[in-house]
Amino acid sequence: MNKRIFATKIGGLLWKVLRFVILVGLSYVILYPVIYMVSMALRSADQTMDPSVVWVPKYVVADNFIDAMQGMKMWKSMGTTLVISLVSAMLQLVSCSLVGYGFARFKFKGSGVLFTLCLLTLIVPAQCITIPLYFQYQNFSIPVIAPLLESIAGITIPGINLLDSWLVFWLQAMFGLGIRGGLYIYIFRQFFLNIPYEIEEAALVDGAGYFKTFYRIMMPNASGSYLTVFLFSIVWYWNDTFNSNMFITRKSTFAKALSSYVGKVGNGVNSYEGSPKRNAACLLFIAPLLLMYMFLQKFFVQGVERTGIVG
Amino acid sequence: MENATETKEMRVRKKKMRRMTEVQRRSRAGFLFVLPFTIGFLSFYLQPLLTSIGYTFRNVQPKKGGGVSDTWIGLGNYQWLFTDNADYPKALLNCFKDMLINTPVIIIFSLFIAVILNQKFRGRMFARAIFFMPVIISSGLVMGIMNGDTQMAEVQTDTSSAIFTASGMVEILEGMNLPETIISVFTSIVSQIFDTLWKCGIQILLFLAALQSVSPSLYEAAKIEGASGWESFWKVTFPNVTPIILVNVIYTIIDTITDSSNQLMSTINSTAFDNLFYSRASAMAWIFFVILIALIGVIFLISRSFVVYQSK
Repeated sequence: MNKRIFATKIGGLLWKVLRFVILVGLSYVILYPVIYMVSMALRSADQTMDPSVVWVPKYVVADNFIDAMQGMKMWKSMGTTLVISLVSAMLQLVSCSLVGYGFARFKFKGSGVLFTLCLLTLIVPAQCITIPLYFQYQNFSIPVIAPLLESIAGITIPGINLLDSWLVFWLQAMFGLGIRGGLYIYIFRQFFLNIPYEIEEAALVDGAGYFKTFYRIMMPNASGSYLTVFLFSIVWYWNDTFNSNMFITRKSTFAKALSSYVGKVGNGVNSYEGSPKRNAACLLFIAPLLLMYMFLQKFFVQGVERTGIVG
Repeated sequence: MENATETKEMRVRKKKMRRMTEVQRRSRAGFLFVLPFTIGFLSFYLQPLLTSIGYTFRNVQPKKGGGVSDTWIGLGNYQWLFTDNADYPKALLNCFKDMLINTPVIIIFSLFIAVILNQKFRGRMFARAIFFMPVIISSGLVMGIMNGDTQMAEVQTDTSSAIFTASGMVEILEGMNLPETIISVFTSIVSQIFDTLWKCGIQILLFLAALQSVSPSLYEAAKIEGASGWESFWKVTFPNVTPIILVNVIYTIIDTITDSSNQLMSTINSTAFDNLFYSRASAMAWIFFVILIALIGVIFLISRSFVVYQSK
């Protein structure tokens, strides 16, 4: 018996050491590119290939950041991205949580089919539908209602060109079909499924309507998952180049500015000289996200814990 | 006057409400909650989806003077894909091959990390903050630039900041006189760790959430029965996370295969947007989509035999 306790103790200790090694090692793998970026971004071009510089540059320069800021027209493109991503994320929060709640708590004719379609939107690659969508936005009339009006009342509403307006992002986000909208609906659904039904029932018995119950009772309870989805949403809109390349041609988003700037200074194995500049640009690009993450990290990790997603 | 009509309306509404049964009311409420998605799907998804299927049987191309030319060519696009085009079948094959190799690695790895991050130790919050960071940073764009620079660092191995290579380990392993195959497997895993770890953020997050929803009483019961940590992982933890394994497998497959930086997606993109062959690009996307759907269907069928749902 004593031997066994001794063995498990040794095993536990070994596991602790191993766990520590794994965690430190992998943290290093994750932090490495970030540290590398910082180290590179602060170097002057001639230090890029200098074998005597490993991590800490001999002298620190801010030129790369200044050049990247000017090259990307940072404030302007970042403002554009901020407007797109903040508004879209808000709209997605509202629409996806409503839909997710609907799928989680109510059964009605066709709800199963609709939920399958919702998952389908995740699987269909964007390339499949972007081109028709492009034509739809080019000559946009209100779907369903406009054709009905035309056939019944004979009123033709001329189509509007929505390309190059933020509405191409906002409209889809508003209806739960923004970038990865299906995933958020799914996350919200799983979360609401996990909240005990009794809480809601009490409110319903007290005479609150379904919608009132939703925003008075369910929404405060789901604050963690709201935060999680908000972060995801911001991040994906921030990083999006596919949609902005397709639908926005006149203005530059931050992501587009970054990719064209990196194209200018050179990317890949053989462009050593460009390295400090492109790393500076990269840092500037992810800095707002990192800042947001640092501020929200505590709530975020808790939020995830409370999300309690169960398939 | 206005007040009176309002109250009348309200009375009528109340009467209606009373006439509706509880079930009817609930189903109506559900319909209303889901309505945004229904409208969105009908107006922004269904039509483009059907149009894009239609495109694959026609030749749609922008004309030089503006406007679009549109002719019916039947299965011509599909024929072209597999006879005259060398890139597409190769890209398709490579893409699915990569996915089949990467998915199990990512799933096992992220489950392992999630189990570790779920244990109690000092600095747990800090470790979690680091491991979730890829979720925040990870984007095709920044990843592409980072990968370029890592490769660059590897090229300069003997000069400067090549801290991130497996070469040091290879020397140690060779010094131990291990067989070549073991060394090559080991180095490929090590050099892949970077990519794998950076793709695992969401999966780790979902697994962690699932692990936390496992009731502690189950572990207590297992402990009383005399199960070791290893046994309780396989008997308690694993069955409880199987639903999330399914979710993660599907998510990983979709995420890796629709990643815009892979060979297949860039082939589709360049066909559509550089060469303006909309129809051919649509056909490419649809073939790959049908294969993907079939694959996911098979995975769902297999999953029936091992996924354990609490509610059933």
